[in-house]
Formats: sequence, C-alpha cells, structure tokens
Amino acid sequence: MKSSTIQSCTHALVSNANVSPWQPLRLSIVALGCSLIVQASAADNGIGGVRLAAGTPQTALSANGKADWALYGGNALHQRYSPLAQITPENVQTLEVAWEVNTGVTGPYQATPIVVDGVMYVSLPYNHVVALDAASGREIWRYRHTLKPDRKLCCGPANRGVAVSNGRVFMGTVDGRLIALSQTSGEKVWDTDVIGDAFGIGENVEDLGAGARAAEKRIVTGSSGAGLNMAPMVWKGKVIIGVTGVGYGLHLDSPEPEAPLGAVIGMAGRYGERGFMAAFDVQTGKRAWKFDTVPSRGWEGSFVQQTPDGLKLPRNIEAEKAALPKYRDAWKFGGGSAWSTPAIDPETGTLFFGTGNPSPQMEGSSRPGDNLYTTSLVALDANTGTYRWHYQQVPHDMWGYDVASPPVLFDTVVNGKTVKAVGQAGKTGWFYVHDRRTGQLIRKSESFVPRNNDFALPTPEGTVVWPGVVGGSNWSPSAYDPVRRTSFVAGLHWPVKYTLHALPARDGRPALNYSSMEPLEGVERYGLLSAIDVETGKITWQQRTPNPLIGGVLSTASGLVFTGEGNGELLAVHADSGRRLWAGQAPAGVNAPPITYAVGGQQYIAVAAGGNKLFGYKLGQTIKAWKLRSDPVPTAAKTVDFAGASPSRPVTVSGGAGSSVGSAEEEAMMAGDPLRSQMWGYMRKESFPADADVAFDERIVVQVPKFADDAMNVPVTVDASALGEVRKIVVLVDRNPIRKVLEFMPDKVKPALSFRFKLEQASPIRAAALLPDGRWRVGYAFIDASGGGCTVPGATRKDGSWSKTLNQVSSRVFEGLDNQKGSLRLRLRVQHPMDTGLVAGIPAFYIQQLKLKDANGVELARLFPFEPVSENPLFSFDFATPPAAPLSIEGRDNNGNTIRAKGL
Amino acid sequence: MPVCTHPFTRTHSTSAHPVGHVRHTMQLGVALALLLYAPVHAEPTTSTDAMPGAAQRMQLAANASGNAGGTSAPPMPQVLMPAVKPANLDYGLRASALPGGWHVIAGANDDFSVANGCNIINTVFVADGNGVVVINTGVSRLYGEQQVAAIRRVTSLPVREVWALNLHPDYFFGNQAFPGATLKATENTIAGMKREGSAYADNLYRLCGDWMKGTESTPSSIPLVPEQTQLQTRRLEVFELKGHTDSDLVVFDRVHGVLVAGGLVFDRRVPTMPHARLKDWIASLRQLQQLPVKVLVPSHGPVSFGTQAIQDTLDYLQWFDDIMQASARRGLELNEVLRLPIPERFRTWAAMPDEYARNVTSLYPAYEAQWLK
Repeated sequence: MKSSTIQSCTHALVSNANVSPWQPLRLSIVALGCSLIVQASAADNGIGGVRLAAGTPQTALSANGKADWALYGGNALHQRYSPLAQITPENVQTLEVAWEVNTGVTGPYQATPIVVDGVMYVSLPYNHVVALDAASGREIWRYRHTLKPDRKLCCGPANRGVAVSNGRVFMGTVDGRLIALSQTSGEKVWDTDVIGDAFGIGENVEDLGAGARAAEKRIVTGSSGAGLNMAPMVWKGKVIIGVTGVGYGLHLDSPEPEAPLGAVIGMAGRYGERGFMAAFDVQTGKRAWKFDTVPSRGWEGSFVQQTPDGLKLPRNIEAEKAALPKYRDAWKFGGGSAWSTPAIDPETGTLFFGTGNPSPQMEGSSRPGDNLYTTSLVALDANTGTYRWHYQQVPHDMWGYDVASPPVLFDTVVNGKTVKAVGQAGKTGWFYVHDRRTGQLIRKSESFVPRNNDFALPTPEGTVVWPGVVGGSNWSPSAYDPVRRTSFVAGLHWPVKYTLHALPARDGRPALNYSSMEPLEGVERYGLLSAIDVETGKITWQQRTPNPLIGGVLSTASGLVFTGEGNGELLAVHADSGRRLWAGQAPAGVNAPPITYAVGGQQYIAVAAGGNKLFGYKLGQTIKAWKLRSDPVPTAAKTVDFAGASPSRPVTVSGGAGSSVGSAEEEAMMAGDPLRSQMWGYMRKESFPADADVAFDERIVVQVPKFADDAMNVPVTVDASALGEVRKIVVLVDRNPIRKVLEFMPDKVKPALSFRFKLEQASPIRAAALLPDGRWRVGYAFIDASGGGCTVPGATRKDGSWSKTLNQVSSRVFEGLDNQKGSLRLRLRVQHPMDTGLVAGIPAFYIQQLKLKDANGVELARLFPFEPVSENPLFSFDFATPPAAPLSIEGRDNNGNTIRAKGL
Repeated sequence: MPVCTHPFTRTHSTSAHPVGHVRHTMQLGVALALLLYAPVHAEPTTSTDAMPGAAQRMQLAANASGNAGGTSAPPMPQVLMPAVKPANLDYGLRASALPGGWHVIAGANDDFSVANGCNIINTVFVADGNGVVVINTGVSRLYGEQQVAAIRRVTSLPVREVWALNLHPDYFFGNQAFPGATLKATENTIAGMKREGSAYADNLYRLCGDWMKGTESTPSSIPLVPEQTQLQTRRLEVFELKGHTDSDLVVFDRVHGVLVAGGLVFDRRVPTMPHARLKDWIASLRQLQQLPVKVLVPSHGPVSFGTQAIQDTLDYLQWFDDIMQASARRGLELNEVLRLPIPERFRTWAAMPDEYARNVTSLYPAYEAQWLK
C-alpha cells in the first residue's frame, strides 16, 4: 500500500569492509582476552566505493579492532549476517547497555544504522541525520532537514537509512529529494529533486461521498503521493533509489483512541502515480537512468488466471479484457512503489528490488490486466536500469501484497548444483527462492504464518483474510545465515477485513465500486520469528512474540538471532532453536533493524528504537547500543538454586556475595525480583497498572517440579489462602513465548488452583494475587527444563482424535483431603487440544473461559485460560466448605464452541 | 507424536537431567527410550577394574538364600570395566569371562555422556560350537565394530547370530558391524526399531557427538522365535516377557545358572519407565524369580549373584503402583504426589529422586484418569 505505513523503507550504504561472499573470504581471527572476533574483508567490488580501515587481509582485527556495518543489508547480499562472534549464546545474557542516545526527534524509527570506521550514521524521522561515535554515542554532527512546505507527506516521516560512500552520506527524503551530505561534517553537498512535479493527486475523504459519512469524521493519515523512504545503494559511481507512496490508499485513523491503523481505502480515479527506480551521479546528483515500475506498454500482461506458483486467482478475465479499452491510461497512475533497498549482485551487475501494489484503486475494475510490474520482484541491469526479469507474486493484486521485505542473495543447491539465488519473504506469508539469472522460482517455503481465505475477494459484509495487507512479513528485512542456510523472517499474524463498497452516482459522476481494508478488531495478533531452511523451504523453528513483528532481523556467526518488538524489547534467540536467550529493553518500540559492529575490539549490538505509529507501538527517540559486560559476573539465572522436591519457596541466591549485584539498570529491570530475572521489570509493567502496589510474598505457595520432565504437561499448584480473601490470581511464566498462562477468579472457592501448562524453556513462574484493596502480591518458583513444550503439537492434535472428544467434560469430587472435615476438591477435565498457534499451520485454539456454578446457578469460580495451558486441561478446585451440589460448568473456546456439563 | 524441537540441546555432560530429556522426548511419543540406566552401584570403580558392587551383591545373595553360615559363595568373576579413550573414539571394550563360556563386555555404570562414549550397556556373547552368539550390539556403529574386535580377542569363530533383547537403541545401534542375516529380534521389537529408529538416532547424535558417526538405525531383520532359539551345543531357555517394553527377551542358561535379564532388572537404581507397563513388568519379574539364577547379567549395572536384584526391582514396582493408585483415589495433584515421602529402602538408590519424578510424571496421568468420569 502506499501508504507506507504498512510498508517498507530503507537506506543504503556503501563501503566494502564487510563480508563479500562472492569473493573468497579473507578471514582474520584475533583473540581478544577470552573472546574471538572474526572479521572478513573483501576488495571493492563496486558497491560503495570507500575503502575502509578494516579489512587488511591476513591481519588481526586492526589495531583499533574495528568491524563495520557499512551497507544497509550488512553486506551487499543483504544477508544481515555478521561474522562477529564475540557475543555468543553462552554470554549474551551478560550484555549491558553501552550507550543510549536521545535524539530529540520522536519516531517512528525504521532506519538501519550504518557504521563506517567507528562512526554511526542514522537517519531520524523527517530526514534529520546524526553521526555518532559508535563506541560512546557521542554526537559528531547533525544534519537538520527542512521539508518543502508545499509537499505533504504521503507515507509518514520515517526513513529507512542512509548510504555512506565516496566521502558522502546519501539519503532519500520523505519530500521526494535525494541529498548528499559530507561524511565528515554533515554539510549538504547536493540536493536533487527526484520526483519533481510527479507527485500525483492525493485522495480526499470527500471523494467518498455521502455513503461514507462515518469515515468523513476520521482523520486522514495518508494518501497517494510520492516520497522516498528506502535507504539508497551506491553502485559504481551512482546512487540508486526508488520512489514510494505512489500506490492507492487513503489512510484513515482508527475511531478507537490509540489504536493502530484504521482503514485503507482505494478509489478509482487519477490518484497517485507510477513508481520508479533511478540512479544518480554520486558527484553531481544528476540522474543517470530511470526505470518505471509500470511500463507504458504491456502493463496489462497476459491476464493470467493464477499466480506463477499456481494458485488460482478470483479474476473475471473476460470482464477485464472488455474493460481494457476504457482504461487504456491506467498505467499512468499504476502504482508499484519501490519500497525496499535493492540488493546488487556484483558479479553480474544485477539489481533486485520489490514493487508495491497496483493503483489507482485496490478494487481492480479500473485497472484491468496483470498490472505489470507491480507486486513483483524485479531484476534490472544496475549499470543502465534496463529490465532483466520480473516475478509477479500476485498478478492484479487486490489485497495490498507489496513485495516489501528486501530481497536477499545467497547460493542454493538445485539437483546437486549450486545456483545463485535471490530470496524474498512475502507479505503473502511465503519465502520465495528464485534463480538469480532468470527469476525462475526454485522453491517456496511453507507458510510462515497462519492462513485463512487466500485470495478471497472483498464482499459487502467483509471478507476476513490472513495474512493480508500487513503480512506475512512486511518491510522488515530478513536475515540469512550462510552456514545454517537458514533465513530468519520477522512475520506477523494480523487478520484483515476487506470490504466492498458501492459509491452512488452523484454530481455527474457515475456510481463506482471501491474496497477498503481494515485490521479486524477483537482478534488476536502476534508476531512470529521463523527460521526457514532455504534448501528445503521447511520451517526449522518459530518463536512467537506478543506483538506483531515489524523491524527486521540480525543474525551472527556465533548462532544468535536478534529482532525487536513493539513492546520495547530487543530479543536475542538461539539460531538453532529459537529459544529466547536475552532481551534488552528500550523506552519505545524496537521497530527498526538491529545491527552489530566492532570498535576497539568490542562487539556492539545497536538499534534505533522509536516505535511505529501504524502498528500502535510506542513512539520514542532512542538509539541504543549494548556490549558484553566488561567483568562478567554469573548470570541471574544461574545463581538461583532451588531445592528439589521441597516446596518451591525460596530460594537460595548463591554465586558469591556481592557478585550477583548487577548494574543499576539491571537491578531496575529485575524490579526487586528474588529470582533476579531481568524479565520481571518488563512483566511488571506489562501485567499490572503503572501505579499498582506490587510486591513479592512468600505466603503464596507455588509448587512445581524441580525439572519439567514433560514440558507439555508441567504441573503447577498455586495456593494463596494465606492471604485471606483474593479477587483474582494471574499465572505468568517469564520465558514462555506467551507469558500469561491463566487468570482465575476464586469467587466462592479457595484461592487455590492446580493445573498443567506448557513450558518452552527453563523459567520463573509467578502467581500474582489481587487483594480486595487493590494490592497485588506475587508468589514464585523456578522450573528447569530442556524445553520445547509450546512449539510441538499435542497428542490429540497429532493423531487427529481431538475432534471426536472436543469439549467433553469429566470430573470427580474428592472428600477429606488434608483430613479436614468438609473440605472438598473438584477435579475437572475438559477435552481440548489447546493449540498454542506456535506450531506451523495450526492456529491458536484454546479454551478462553470456564465458569463453575453451584446448584442454584451461583458462580463459584471463573477461569480464563490462555494458550499455554496444557492439552486436555485438568483443573483442581478446592472448597473449604461443601458447595450446593450438583455443580455445573459453562464455558467456551476462542472459536466460539461451547463447553457445558452438569451434575458434577 | 511430534518430535520435540530440542530435547537435547543442552550438552549431556553438563546436565543434571539427562534421562529427563529422554523422558521428555518419550512423552512426546518420539520414543527413545533407551537410555535409562545409570549406574547401579554406589561404590566408585576408580581403583580397580573389578566391580565392587557385584561383590557386594554376591554377599547379599548369600544372605538371602540362607546360606550365610554354611557354604561359601563361589568366587565372583572379575568383570573388567571399559578403558575408554574419547580422544581416539576408543571404547576400550574388554570381555570378561562368566561361567559356562559366557562373556560380558561391560558398559560404564553411568549416564550417557561423550566422556563414556554413551556406552552404558552390558553386551554378552558366547562361543557355541562353530560360531558365536552375540546379545545386543551397543549404542553405535563404532561400538559394534569394536565389539567385534573384542570378541575376536577371545575367539576366532564367526558370529552366527545376533540377538537384540528389546527395541531400545543401545541394544541394536551397533548392528551395522554384523552381517544382516545374523540380526535377530522378536517381531514386536523389530517393528519398534523401525518405528523409532530415526528418532533415536537424532537424539543420540545430539547427545554423543562424534561417537555416533556413520551410525544409521539398522533394525534387526530376522524374526526371533523364542522357543526355537537355541545354542548348538547347549539348551537355552529364551523367554519373551514384557513390561519394561512391549517385548523383553530374557535368556537363561539353566546348566550354569546364567540369566541375561535385559531391561527387566535394575539393581539399586530407580528403574526407568519410558515404555513401561507395570502390571506386565511385575508379572514378568515373578516369573524370573522362579529360575535358579546363579549369575545375573542385567543390561545396565553390575553383574551379580542370585535373585536379589529381581526382588528389589519387584519391590519398587509394587510400591510405586500402590502409591499411584492410592494417590489417584484420594484426588491428589501431581505436585502433591511428587512430594510424598519415599520409603527409606529406596531413598539411597541411584537416580533418586529424579528418576522417581520422571516415573510419576510419566505414569500418574493414566492413574488419575481412571478416577474421572
């Protein structure tokens, strides 16, 4: 979509000092204390143009120990894979904040920082640029951009980064200009207007007419237009950049306050433009070539009835052909934004980039044909801009499936032979692998997100599709690990409703259909970080995140994968398993690609954290870097030693007096947690009101086994009776992909509950009790595990038997436990697969609500389970005094199936 | 069932719960059983190659049979422990003679680790007429090859038959070293090997590293019919029992009183129960108690005299079954069962309480399900 918002932007880069896999690597290894840094260098292949300090073959990491992140995609292949290996899965937990810069410009931030020779160059929103000392964050210079007053922004203020080459810093601007700055001072060297008058016409709410009164009250947050968001690439003396925002799209805010994007509406008419990619002389800014993403001839294509990979499209080919004469000039506003920074194959001088959706409207009737080369992966001659091939993922797209995530270059094996390939993670939810020479599809991955209603047409009542306009994978760059031959993709599950509207004739204009799309409200959304074996297309692992992922991925040679989350976490997971290893915290959403580099022998991880408005992630103005603690002390997780089968109470914090005291920031993140989990500070914010009185309390009993022998069925027994009256108990697991396990309102039963849950890895578990006066008291325990409980299907899902027993209830009342007269226990099982949604192809499916009632219909207890509760859950409720029997249970799952049983 | 994503990602040697991983995998149905066994005897074997545990058991056996005051027990054969050299991938296998021409190649009394080559199984062979019969082939192709060499140091006769006593991988992962036409197991076991072999391989590669190289699951192919299974020179009694797995072979040489008990008997070590069916297991042990056993060779743990090890295993299984039944009847939660007191006589057993926790986690759900309607 045009709007960018839901799209991509990037930046470019320059210099060579990174790994260039098309050349033999010259690795130099140096031992730095106990750590190793591997650095690679390659000769100047034309990408960039500046020879950097790092990279003298066969020498140790230079005396100053530098390794750059010189190009948008880390290296020219856009793999976002770093050979740096000082930070490892074993020590990543000892990362500490190296520096944090408040830029003074509030987000959204989408930029990949560029680091050249120890200096970091970052573009800020509204195209301001800062140069920072990469080791300290100290500001070296700042460029302040002045927007042209007559140009409104099509796509928000975000920029995806700069390119550094030839002593210059290049940046495309949201007001349609390409600017060259001095690398040393930040002063402007030249300023070229890339789009000129080709801004097109933007839509207006009034154009919707009387039929959309409700919409008229809403704020327009974007419309067709043009701007530059991507980071440029430099190739053989030219700066290459593409234009964005030319696709349809009247963006309206959500009627709900603070909600993310409302609706996107596409209308017929002469709105917008067509996209292009163009190259400019690095010295003068003079344009050398231009490639229009929609050709003036042949744009209608061959009216294909299916996608190139064989999926049927709901097109009425006859009607389209009949309409063609009427819409002969549809190409003039045909869309096809260029969202992603191109990858360039230096051997063949071929440039690869993705194009956005067709225009002028989402509903396809006024743009018959295939709408070439929109929604395509396009290959050009990087020297001339001449077309080489294209692969159109969705011909005649009607859903906004822009090819947004940047293409990545790597080798793959086909029939025993190595083939130069280009891959791309689609909004469509598949990772495509093509032959770089021809564009031929070699393979397509399994879907890395759940699917519903593929290629279903909008209807007046609304058609719900996922993945939809948001993806799949959006503009987030993927990372590729050439050793594991694995692509790491930041994906998301975000259902979208597509609605068909009819605009009545008025003011002499004919009646017209248009369609709109909006995020479906009241449904679950989440992120999915996926490891995809590009040799097979199979998903190796998936890690689910609470927020839909937008921002991008970094992988390192040591087997780490980093990605940011909208909740402000920068997450590190293991490249082989997806297991969460570490999370850093930023004050705003981390929705830009993380990078890594080395200065002075020290490896850093850095990211811009400024949130994302469209996704509803907290905006901010931070650039933050982490490095290993200089004097590592035992990590918190290892200092906790629980006695085995003894009640999980406390806790010996061992590890040496004083040695377990971390930095002030770490202490703050732990927020007083006796288990010293750095998750707790965040969980506290996430789970309780900001002003709530929250304290740990050992009177709350939390029993778990010492080790999770069966990670899919870990028993937990919670008892908060010692606190007296309790309104609610919330069970949380720090290190599960879905942290909240269950909520329990013990209205008339003891504030005690036993059940089993799925555990993904060793973790603290918390039981938080809400007291009548609003205070929260938290019990806790730690459970060790080898893991994997959340990401494999359950037994009944695997053998398919779940459907025969779904929601059947079995139970029994037991008397005389604890030898206390009158005490009762109800054990109750509901047959349900309780799918977490973290297993590829199986959406989340779980019991959401259970109400226990007595013979008079009085509610005794209410239970709100979430995905981590085990398959066929078995709950035990305890009664101090016998309730009015017989009891009954009522409930439902998230698909609306009811659960009901009487006579318990 | 699904393969667990990473049951063995932690290195075995640093894990306190190696068998737990296995257990976990099993729960997922991937199966894997094997591993069980960890050392049974408490005494370290550092200073001598002999098995002090075995000597002690001999003493116990003598007492139990009421012979304490009279006849002295026969001298316990020296059982050599492996002299493993991990750097050379050398298992250091050494054959020890038992009565009646039987030989045992003892494995480490340990859990799986790279340091011991994941060799924790006792394999057995006996020269018989013009050939050799081999029982179990160890954990890897390398083991099988070195097992053949160890046998060669005792006899040059060709291997005539190879019997795998159950489906667990260290009973048959050395099969590649032997001619396919020699490889026998019960039909039930052959089916299990085929079903679970690749999952075993995945897990063992992760756990044992280079020791596994070149190993591919090679299930036995010739159905073994117990009543037709004999040595050429001597009558054997071969029983197909069950309970530890669905098919547990036991070989008894009545003439010399040698019982090769396979996975049914554990000796002062908490039994592992990944594939267990307690009622069957108990019945099988009662059957074994009737045999005039003089020397008992379990798959894991020291060689011992007499039937005390059978009685101990039986005692644990019966207690465990009782406590599970009673707990389910009372409506206890799993966490409560895990915290029940353990009788003094089991508390000193190896792998207590971790293996007990795995037993409960694995088996209690079936007991409690019987009490829900």
